[in-house]
Amino acid sequence: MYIRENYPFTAIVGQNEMKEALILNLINPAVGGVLIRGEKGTAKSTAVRALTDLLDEIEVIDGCHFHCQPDSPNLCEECMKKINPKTVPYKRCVVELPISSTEDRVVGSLDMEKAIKNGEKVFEPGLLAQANGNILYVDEINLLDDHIVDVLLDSAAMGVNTVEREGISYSHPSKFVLVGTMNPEEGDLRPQLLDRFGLVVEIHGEQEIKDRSELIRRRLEYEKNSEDFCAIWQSEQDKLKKKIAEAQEKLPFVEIPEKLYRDAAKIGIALQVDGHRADITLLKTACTLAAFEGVKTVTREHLIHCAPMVLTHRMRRMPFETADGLPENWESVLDD
Amino acid sequence: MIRNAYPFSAVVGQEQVKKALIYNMINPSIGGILLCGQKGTAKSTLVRGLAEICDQKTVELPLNITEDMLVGSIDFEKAVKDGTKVFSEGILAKADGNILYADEVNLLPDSIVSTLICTAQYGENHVEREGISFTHSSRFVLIGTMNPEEGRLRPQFLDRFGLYVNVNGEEDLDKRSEIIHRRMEYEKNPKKFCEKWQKENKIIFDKIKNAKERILSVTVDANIRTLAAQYALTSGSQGNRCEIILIHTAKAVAVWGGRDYITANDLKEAAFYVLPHRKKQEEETESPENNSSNQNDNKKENSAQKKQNQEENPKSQDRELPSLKEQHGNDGESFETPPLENDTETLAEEQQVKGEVISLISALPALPKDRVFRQGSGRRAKTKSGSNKGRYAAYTPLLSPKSRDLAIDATLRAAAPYQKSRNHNQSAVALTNSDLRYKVRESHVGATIVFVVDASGSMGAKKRMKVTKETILSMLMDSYQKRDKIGLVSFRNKKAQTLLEITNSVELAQKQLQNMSTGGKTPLASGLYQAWQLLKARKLKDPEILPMIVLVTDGRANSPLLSNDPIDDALKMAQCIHNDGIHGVVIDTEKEFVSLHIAKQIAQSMGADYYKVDELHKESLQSIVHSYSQLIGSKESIYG
Repeated sequence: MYIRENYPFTAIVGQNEMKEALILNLINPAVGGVLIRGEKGTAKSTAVRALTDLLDEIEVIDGCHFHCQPDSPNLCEECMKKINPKTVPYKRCVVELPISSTEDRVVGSLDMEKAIKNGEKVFEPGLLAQANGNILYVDEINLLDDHIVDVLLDSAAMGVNTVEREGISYSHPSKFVLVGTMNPEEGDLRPQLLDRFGLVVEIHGEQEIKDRSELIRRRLEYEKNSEDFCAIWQSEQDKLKKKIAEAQEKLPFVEIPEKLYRDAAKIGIALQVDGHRADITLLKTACTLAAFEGVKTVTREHLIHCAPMVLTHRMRRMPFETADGLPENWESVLDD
Repeated sequence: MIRNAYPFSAVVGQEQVKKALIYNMINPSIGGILLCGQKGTAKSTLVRGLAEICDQKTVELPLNITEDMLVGSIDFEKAVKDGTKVFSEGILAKADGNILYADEVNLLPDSIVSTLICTAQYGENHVEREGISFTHSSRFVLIGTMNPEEGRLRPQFLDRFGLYVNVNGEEDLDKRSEIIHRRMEYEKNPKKFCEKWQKENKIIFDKIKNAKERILSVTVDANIRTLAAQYALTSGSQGNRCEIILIHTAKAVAVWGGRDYITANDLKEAAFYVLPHRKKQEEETESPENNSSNQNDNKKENSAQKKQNQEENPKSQDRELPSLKEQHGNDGESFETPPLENDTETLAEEQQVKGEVISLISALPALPKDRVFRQGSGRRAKTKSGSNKGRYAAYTPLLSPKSRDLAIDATLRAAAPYQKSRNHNQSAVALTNSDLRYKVRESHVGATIVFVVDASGSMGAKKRMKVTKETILSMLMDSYQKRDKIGLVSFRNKKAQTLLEITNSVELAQKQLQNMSTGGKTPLASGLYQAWQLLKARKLKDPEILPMIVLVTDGRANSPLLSNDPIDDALKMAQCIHNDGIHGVVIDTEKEFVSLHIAKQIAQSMGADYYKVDELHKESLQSIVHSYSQLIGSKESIYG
């Protein structure tokens, strides 16, 4: 039986860190995506797919393959030429990239039909075009073919997909929130790709009997009648959606005290993270968290709260060193 | 495409990178630059910011590029519609007179790299394909960025880059927080931020423009030429490109400094950028302990040097690149390793067995910078892939049972010249069988390697196990870069144990290796059997794998598998492995007064390559890992 409704995000039992990481990305795509590492059956995919229902509707330029938003600084070539373009509503979504994808479908390629029928050279957009403005979800991302990872790295970093293949020379905006899930038992991600993820969360199955039985109850109820189940959770969903929307409005006005810039830098230096991406992401994530909590000013506590998600995967290790090595006492790192 | 790129002048620190880029803008004859460094150190940001400070365009070379788009090809749209034969420009044409920027240059397909090397050499692109014969000039400043963790560059290609800079993150607290500051400000409103920095950018722009006009008038006197030649000579670089680039760079340094003549200091600064990737290196000889203490030293040195550098003290320059210094020492004098214990007594011993002995000690493989290390080592990671997996790199008119993937673009181009003469049935394009072209895909086909490690009591001697683990670690490191799949089997007491099923996670293998317990008897045959089974099972799933067994043992088998003779059992198993076409490497760690050479016999039965490890000799581990890397590379090309 095919169940049409996604399992509601808010009905997921526990897994708070994962939920928080995902929500922070919904509020502020600049956080840079999230990688969820965990064992099988820990609601990883459920949670990511459930994001669809939390995404908002936006206004996009009519007829654009890449759903450009009119006020975006990053428009595609066609939209750039349009003056006062007509807009249509567009529901943002989760675009899935299956691990069996071929490169031409990911980056886009020559439109075969038009080429043969009319002898025309037309670009046929791929998944990276679809992903623009959306969430790009790769399940089992650690099993993705290497050359697909390479092209993903390219776009994920720049927000632009440049295609030079099969007679096509084209480039278009491709700014997406990259969400990956993986089971670490199957092997790890390449460090380069790992660094492209703003946040990484590690999840485990719930251990409390109480939670586990609640989880079973909800799941069974959902499988029995997904429509009814979703209806029951609708008010929770709406509440969360509203909270996200409010956070988005507040985000630009979150105040960053001067000392927090230094704190972020201190943490970066103390933990010997590679490069500066970590410092920047840390502060950005903390601001987003502050906005979500509805407070005006971001604090050191926000920073410390976000640190594990942002830093654990970025710490400079000898190629094979293990252990997460986060400090026990953050204050000692931060105080001069 | 990218509007309001982060302004060049707003990047905090990274003075070396900025200068090296500017020198290239002033004098394109320098021949480009390779930026090598960690993630997130503004490498790409700086390159993308270049367009604002000079009048050249930046043409990007994306990783998904196919050959035809690089060199150019027939424009099939025009051919089909108008029946004209028109050359459609590729990236190499667009890059002419501009900057060609390859991000993650070490991940480019091999065929693309070869074409780039050829073009860079002649400064022109000669196209002979699909009925098109065309030559156009293609002179560009090649800028590449790479993260060494992801693999190395071919030495040939490396040499094409005029300058080399190792990029590190800023460690200074003030600078670091300023970086966060500016970045957040930029992201909030890129346009406003760019406007704010426009003035700074303009100053650099003008200065470059001015310098460019004066570059031709820079005089080079004989002394400077001699000095340049000396630099090149002591660095041991191959060919004469080095000194020429030295002069070109020194010219840029001089005009940037407002002079129209080159001083010795200018040359010294030039050498800092020109020599690192060309130096012939001493073999690396460091143990991890040294490594870490060096790193600490370097950090201290680094901050001290920053001050020195500001005073333009030329002495500091070679030392500013900590990791490079480790590898090739200062100005020709070779880098000395702290002596290890037992150093002298082994020397005599070592000479007796020379020829066969590949000695090594500890340490992880070097960063991909030394020429010796890489020479001839094929990138085993890349082979032409038979199946439909991998990156579409080129095409072929030959239909093989393996490639049935139609390359529609190439097919159309092949058909294009004949469209006028052919009979069209309604469709715009008339195709015949002879037009069909198929995709040639290139993929990383790493080997599938099972490490079989002897964990018995005889190996338990602390030092020996340490050497063994370090040896395997280095190989694992190599395997990571080549994207091999690996498994790990250890054997001790009565049985073998699969510590790690075949996976692509080198890190997991390393973890297992670290925790491996030792002691007990030596059931060598069981170990081999287990590895053999693992590979056979894998081969059923995926017939395309390149199976290999790396056996690390002292050969003192004393626990049988089938019969009563443990050694005979091991030899028989080795034979089975050989018969199945599994390649082998045997690393012999035997170090007894009376050698039994059993490992060698096993290697013979396995048809394996044999290396002997001498735990006391303090030469580099590189050689063995290098041979191993090469070996697998060559094995794979047979397969590929």
